[in-house]
Amino acid sequence: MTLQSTMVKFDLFFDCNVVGPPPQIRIGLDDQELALLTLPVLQYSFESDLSQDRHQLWVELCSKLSENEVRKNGHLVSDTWIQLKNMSIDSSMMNHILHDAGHVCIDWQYHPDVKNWFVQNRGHAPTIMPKSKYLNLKSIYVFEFSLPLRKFMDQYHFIDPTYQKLYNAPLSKYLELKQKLVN
Amino acid sequence: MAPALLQAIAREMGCDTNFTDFNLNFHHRFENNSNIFRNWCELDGELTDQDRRDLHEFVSTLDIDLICSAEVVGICVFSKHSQSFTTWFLQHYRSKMKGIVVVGGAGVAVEEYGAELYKQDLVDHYVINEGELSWRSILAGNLPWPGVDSHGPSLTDFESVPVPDYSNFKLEQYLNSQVYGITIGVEGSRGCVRNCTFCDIRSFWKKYKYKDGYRLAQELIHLREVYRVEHFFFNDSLVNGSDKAFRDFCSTLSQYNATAIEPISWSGYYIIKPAINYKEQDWIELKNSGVKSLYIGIESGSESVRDHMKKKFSNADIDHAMTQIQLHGIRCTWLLIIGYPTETEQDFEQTLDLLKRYQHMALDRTIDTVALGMTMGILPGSPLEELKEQLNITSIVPGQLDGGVTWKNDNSDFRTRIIRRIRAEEEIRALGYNSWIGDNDVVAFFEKKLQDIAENRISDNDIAEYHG
Repeated sequence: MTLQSTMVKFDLFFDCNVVGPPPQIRIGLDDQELALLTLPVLQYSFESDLSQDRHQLWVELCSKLSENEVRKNGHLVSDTWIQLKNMSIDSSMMNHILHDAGHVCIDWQYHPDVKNWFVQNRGHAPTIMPKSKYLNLKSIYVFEFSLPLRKFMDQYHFIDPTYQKLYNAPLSKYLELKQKLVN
Repeated sequence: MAPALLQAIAREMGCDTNFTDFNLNFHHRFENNSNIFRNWCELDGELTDQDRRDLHEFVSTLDIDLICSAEVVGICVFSKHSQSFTTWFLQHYRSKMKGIVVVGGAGVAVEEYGAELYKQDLVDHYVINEGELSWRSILAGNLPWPGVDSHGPSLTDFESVPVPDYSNFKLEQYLNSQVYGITIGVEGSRGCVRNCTFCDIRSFWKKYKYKDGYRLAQELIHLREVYRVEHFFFNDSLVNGSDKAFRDFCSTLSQYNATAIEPISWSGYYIIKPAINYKEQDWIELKNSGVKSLYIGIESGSESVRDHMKKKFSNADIDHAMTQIQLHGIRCTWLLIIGYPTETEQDFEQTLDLLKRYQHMALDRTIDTVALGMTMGILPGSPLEELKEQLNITSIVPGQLDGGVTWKNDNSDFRTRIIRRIRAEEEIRALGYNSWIGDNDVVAFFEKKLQDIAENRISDNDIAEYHG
């Protein structure tokens, strides 16, 4: 599959429930650090020229207090939290990235209790955890995506400019047909 | 998946094997050529001279020398949409092949396609129904065999089906692999525990058969470790036909995932069962087994329509299952059928009401997608075909076969069903659901059918896969 370099616009939206001092997040794409933001910030946008097959968008939650964390069986159940409420890349991949393609690189130094829980219950503490849309551990959250994926999703006409819905065809096409039939 | 099973059998028998996925290469080469990809493959349209040159050029890029020198060439015809290319390929390259040529697969059974190729002397054998034993007998030269060039019995010993062999497969190139990571198809059962009136599965498999849940989970773990599979998609009609086997499967994978650095994930078709069937622990283990997405045949918001379909679950059962699915962070796709023969306007409104009631699950992506399909099609071999007289189903074009989607009865005709389908499309978009149509261009499909009806004919591509 031949892939071409593409200029892509990223829109990141945050939803925060901050207790204590406002946390900071660092944002980057692949090896490039893009911004250091102090929350609450509602939106951050940037454009990039994607030329490789695979890319990593990452968000590092780099200052957050952990006194308010409540855990059950090692899982965080109540905490200061920040959610990547809406994230889009060229209006197409928000859903995939938030739900399917993320992982967390945990710095265990800041979470000894969670590390202990893993060691005791699972025998080891993984350095990479499965995806999480909640940025509630002081860690780097990595969202992977690929240009083939983008091609795949574009093929199925994921075109809604508000990136909330994944459409198969413009509704107008359906409505034109309906109008003909009703008349 | 079928080629991987055939490869496993051939290797068990000591054969050297190779595998080329024409579908994959074809897709990459022609996905932007709408005349070949849509018009020719799906609608039996005509090729242009340039298309023919492009097809020959395409074949020259494949392992054609290897194919021509093989002792046995097995061709899996995936669906009706693979028939145009298969016929064209055999017409142009069969004479160059030294070995015997065998066709099988779901596309061979459609409209006696395999028998037609056999009559035209384009193949030496065709296999319909399950191919495991037939394939063995062909490789062993043990012919004639029931199921080779004729209808044969179903496989009785399902546990003897080998673990699929995906050597030579370029797994990373498949679209699903690019979305979910390396993905392969697997099967834990054949047939169905239901006999839904709209479905033709009983015409293929009279009885439901399934693998032991523990063994099936071990199979996935094996495949995960050998091929670095990241996601499995079940080809089964339903993953939870046997509650015991499903429980064992989920429990075994839960234990594996609890300590795995890279846990297994899977998706598949799931049937709603009465609320009492599954306990809290079952839902927890389902989640922990790595389920990513469940495809659920809800079919209709009307209980009376679902009762006639023999789906055997109530709206309360849907509510219970969906609450658990949401609670445990599982995602699902709803499959709906618009225009079932007993569906009245009031029934259809109940489907719209159901979608409205579940909007909150669209917004939190518990219901990731709704598939509305191509409106109700009456499949040959389905119980509905036997109920046509009772349901007063007739052809919209007098004197022509009344199969497919263009039938009519007292409750609806094709025009009514298209309007309902579009109303449902409007509704799901307004409510925030994703709409899934698979590879189909729904509007173009409807327009072609309407044109056919206007010209007093029903095209033979009517009998296709409608439900997305």
